[in-house]
Amino acid sequence: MDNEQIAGLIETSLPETILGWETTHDQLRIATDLEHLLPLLETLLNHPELKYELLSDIAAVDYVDRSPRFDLNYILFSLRNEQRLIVNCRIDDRQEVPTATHLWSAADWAEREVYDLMGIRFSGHPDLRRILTWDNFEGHPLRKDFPVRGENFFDAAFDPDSIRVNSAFDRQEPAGADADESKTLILNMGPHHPATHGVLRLELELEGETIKNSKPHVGYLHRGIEKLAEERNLLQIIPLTDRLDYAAASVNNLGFCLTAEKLLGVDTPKRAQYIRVIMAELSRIMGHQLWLGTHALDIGAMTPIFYTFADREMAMDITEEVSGYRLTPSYLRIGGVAKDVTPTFAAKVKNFVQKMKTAVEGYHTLLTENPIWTRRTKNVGVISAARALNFGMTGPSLRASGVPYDVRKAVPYSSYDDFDFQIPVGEEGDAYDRYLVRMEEFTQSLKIIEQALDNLPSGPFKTDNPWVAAPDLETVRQDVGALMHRFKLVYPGPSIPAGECYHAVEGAKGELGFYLVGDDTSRPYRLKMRSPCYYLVGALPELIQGHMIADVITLIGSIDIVLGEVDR
Amino acid sequence: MSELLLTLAVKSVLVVSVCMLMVAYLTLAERKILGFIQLRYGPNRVGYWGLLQPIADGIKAFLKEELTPANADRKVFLLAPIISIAAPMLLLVVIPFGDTVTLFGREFTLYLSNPDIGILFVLGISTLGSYGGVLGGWASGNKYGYIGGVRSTAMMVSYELSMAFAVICVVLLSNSLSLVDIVHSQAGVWNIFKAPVAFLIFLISGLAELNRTPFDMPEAEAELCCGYNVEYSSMKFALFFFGEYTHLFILGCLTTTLFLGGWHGPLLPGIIWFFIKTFAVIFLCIWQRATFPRLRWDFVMKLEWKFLLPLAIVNVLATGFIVAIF
Repeated sequence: MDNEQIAGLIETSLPETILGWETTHDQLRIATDLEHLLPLLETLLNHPELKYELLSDIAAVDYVDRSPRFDLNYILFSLRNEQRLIVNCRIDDRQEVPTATHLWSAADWAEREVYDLMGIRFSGHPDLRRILTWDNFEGHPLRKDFPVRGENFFDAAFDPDSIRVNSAFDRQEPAGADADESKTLILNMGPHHPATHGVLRLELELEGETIKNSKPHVGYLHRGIEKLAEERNLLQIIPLTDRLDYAAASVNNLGFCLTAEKLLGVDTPKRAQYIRVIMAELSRIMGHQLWLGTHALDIGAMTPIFYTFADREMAMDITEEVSGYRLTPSYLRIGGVAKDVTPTFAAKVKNFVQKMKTAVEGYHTLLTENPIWTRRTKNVGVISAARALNFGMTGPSLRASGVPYDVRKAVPYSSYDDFDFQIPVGEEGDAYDRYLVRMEEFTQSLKIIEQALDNLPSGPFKTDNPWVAAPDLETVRQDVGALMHRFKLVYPGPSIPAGECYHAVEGAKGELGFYLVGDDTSRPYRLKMRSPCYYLVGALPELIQGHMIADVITLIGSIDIVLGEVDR
Repeated sequence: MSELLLTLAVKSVLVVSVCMLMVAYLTLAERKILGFIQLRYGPNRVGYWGLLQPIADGIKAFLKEELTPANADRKVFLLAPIISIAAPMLLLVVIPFGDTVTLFGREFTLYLSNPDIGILFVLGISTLGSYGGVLGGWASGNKYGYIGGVRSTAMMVSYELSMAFAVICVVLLSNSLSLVDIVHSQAGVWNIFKAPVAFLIFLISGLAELNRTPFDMPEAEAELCCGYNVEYSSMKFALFFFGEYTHLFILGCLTTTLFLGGWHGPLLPGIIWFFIKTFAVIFLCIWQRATFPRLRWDFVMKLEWKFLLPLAIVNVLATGFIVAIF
């Protein structure tokens, strides 16, 4: 179904609820009001011909001078129609929004984030606490009237010790004589713990070694990237995106560049698209190598990490070859890439692909058939396809449950439809399937890289659109007009037209989306990042419920989270 | 009389110092072997080929700040590392490193003592060593330490059983509880060929007692961030660490004594054979550490109670039957 048919369908099934609809940047947006929001969302989820089962994100925008002040954008995806929909709702400062947690479990964390950063309250939310900032934080940082530097953190009077993150459990730890009454033990795992992959903190309620209940705390690595982006031009935001999922940086660049290009209406030459694909798949392999090594280390196999890191080094070398950096390349630019690839690059990539093919077989011999490994991962953390979707899980973790949703196939971008590759899908949805799916993604990514490299078209590596592409330095030296042109594009940066758009790519961890709002200046009015890991952590309590302490570690590893992306 | 005491004193000093030096270098050996398996060098900065690394580690451990948590049970907290190093060191007393040698026209035995109940002494004292982990975990006043201590207790209770049953097989075969007699009885055929199942059970239970991967439940660094010794620092930690390696060394010695024919071997002197075999066993332990993932807690218990223990009991019955018939 195309966008118009879907809009017609929604209009006929719920005639009174929608205020209007439009298709901008190939995306269907429907507007509704607060009163009709919940019935509309319910229909969208349950209507047999629509089935928007995946709540990608809730992007709130603060129009400080407008009344009503806030925009809430529910970004939904229907696997049935392979189509994305944005539901827009305007609300006022004092209004409470009915919660959507009973429709999508993903709304739990999405709404907590909106509440924390924008100060919008959701009525009926089971656990509306701050999530990225600390519990006694004052103000809501993503509101436009909140200063970028923060309120008072640099004052001498601000005491870092006053920061509190309270227990998510209501109960008090019984002391002394009362201790007998309590049969459970609250164990704080993290934020400083060797196996939480960064600064994740889990509060576990244990009965013996079995987990009765658990509450994750995130935000220890929150750097306010979304707020920082509001003070930077497009070129300056690219390095910020590197620091989301720093294990697979190029694919973050790709997501942001594609979003900006979509809003700016810039086309990228074919050669640049292919180079971008190579870099994105390379970073996916790097991300998976890091995952495999640490995941195995968590389960106690200490050797695989050294093998994967030795191979990862080759991918690092390639990244360094094209961009000069190893971990945070910032290689992509709006409209293309920073510079053309060299013949050395091609040779290195070829060599890497060859070596990785045997290396992947080696990884398999180390773990796949190992009886201890299968005992530790099979039937651990089983999640059904419906539950996984409901939690907003994406990427390999969702595909292991049997849902063939991959943004590269569902909504192809950057010439991904030119390549022949498969989407590995699991059956059981346990930790072992998540392992197998990622192992197969190594092979598929290598296949894509090989094809892209063999068919790399000649031509420019950057767009010639004058609105984003600066003249080269040689021309600048000769021509004063070119000098001014370059200055305008580099110093204030390209102007972002008024409008909003959402674009997602398949990151190493799942659907990595950017919601970009422009207002005709060179800085984004709002940049919301849809982080796949954020929702994976949100699903973690469901996964670890009833398992043992050792399985917690297995499951944190098996959903492959990077806290830089969770906390942004 | 004084001559006897002097001999004993010299021998004690010799055994303790030589063995402790070996244990110190065992840490280096482990890191080097793991390094070779894992595409890296291992320590190579202190001394040639990293040979002074154990000494540097020791100095570092001495100079580190000593911390005792405020809610720790101070006496037990202090006692735990002492137990965990003292027990394996006590076992050195009964290990027969070799037979008798003649020096300066005198006969010396290459072991400190040969009690008639040698093997019972070994089983008793090695269980005592596990109290180090248990008490350390409980006294730390830390939840991770506490869980580590609980796991340590369960490990101690369970794997001790199958280990004892495996040893009973050896006792049946050699008709003696004395370690020296057990070695003597293997002059022809080693026990590993007579009782291969008992050997496997002994080795697996030994690894479990040692808390080594894949059975390193009490200190699983990924889940419990070191478990029972999480609150220990400085020399107290070093004692735990050293105790564990001494225990590994003792396991090598015991396996050699009980199953691999002790000092028996062609050409080379007995004592050299003894250490070759001991280090072969230790190498096996290090090798499997680099290879296997960690088992989960409930699998470890199931393995013992549902598999190893019944197997060990059946094995004892079968061995007894065969010994009685032939």
